[in-house]
Amino acid sequence: MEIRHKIFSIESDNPHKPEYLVMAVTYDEEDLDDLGVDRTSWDFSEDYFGRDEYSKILAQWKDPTLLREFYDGNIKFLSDSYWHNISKNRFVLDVTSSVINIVHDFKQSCSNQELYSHFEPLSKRDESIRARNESTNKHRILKLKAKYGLILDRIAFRIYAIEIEQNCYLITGGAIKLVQEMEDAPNTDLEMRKLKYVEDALDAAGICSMATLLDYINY
Amino acid sequence: MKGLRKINSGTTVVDSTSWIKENEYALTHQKEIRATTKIILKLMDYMENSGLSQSDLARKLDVSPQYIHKLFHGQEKSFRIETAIEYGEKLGISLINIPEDDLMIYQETSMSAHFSFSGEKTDDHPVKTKCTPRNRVSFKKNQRWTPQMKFNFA
Repeated sequence: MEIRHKIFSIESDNPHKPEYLVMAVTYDEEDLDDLGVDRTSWDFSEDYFGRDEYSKILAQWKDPTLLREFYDGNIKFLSDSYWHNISKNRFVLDVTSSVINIVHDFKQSCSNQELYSHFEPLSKRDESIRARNESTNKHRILKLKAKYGLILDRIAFRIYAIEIEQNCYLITGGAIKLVQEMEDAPNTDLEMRKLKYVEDALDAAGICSMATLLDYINY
Repeated sequence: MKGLRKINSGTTVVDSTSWIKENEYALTHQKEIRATTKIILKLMDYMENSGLSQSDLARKLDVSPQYIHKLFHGQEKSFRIETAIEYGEKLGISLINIPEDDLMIYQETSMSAHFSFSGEKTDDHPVKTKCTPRNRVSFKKNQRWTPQMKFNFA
């Protein structure tokens, strides 16, 4: 696993310590195997393997071939009345059109240093970590999700991240949310495993602040 | 999960902020991008319904398979209207449709504009013209006139 792709930063007077930093994880072959990603998955394809998670999800949400396959593979969810039996081509058009706005909104959140309010804790445990972080001077890392973009007027996209500090975030992945409970759909279940995987790896490496992250990588 | 994986340390940070600039282009070209995606989807439908592979389609269109790959994976940003017409002709399908009804509206509007009226204009009273039994038009001096109902030219 690598943390080397800087996807947004606001630099400070100190060239080695930005004021605001957003990075994205890059998974290698072993990571993907450990995460249970199928070898025939798009993540292993030439188009996507080795890309950081942020640029990968953006590229995948613009890829008509992948989206058509995704539709076919998730037809049991998409043919549900919740999705009004959305057609395959309408699904692809909605997703590819939404990406432009998702990116715009995400960039705005970064530029305004608003990721803290835009991302919400993933679970009850993360909620209590955030509450504790707010009431004490100490900061513990926590898992987050943010909602973006529309399909058929429903907010359907999620971006997942780890908050290292209030001014430092690490994108671990993203998904099109098909059903209410994330565990019920394979794509969002994988994203939850990625978050835990990265959280554990950060813990093991002793990365718990922007300073320790910057020490770890060659910024 | 098999065991704890390590994060590679000391890696040089790569600036991956090009997405910001790319999206600025996309934001100002949303309609073109949506139209391009529709054309791509039509090509994909044609390929699937005809049982063709991407290589077969590339041969039919006289382009490289790599180009088709890029096109079908959303990596080609622009698609010229001439190209869409050319591909449609080669495949015997229509990739761009401009509904005939839309053209008729323009014709009707154009004909209306050249219609001449007879009748008496006053400063503030609308008049009925004698052109056809149904074409009532109201107008005031020094103001743009607006037809109250559509003319039938059938």
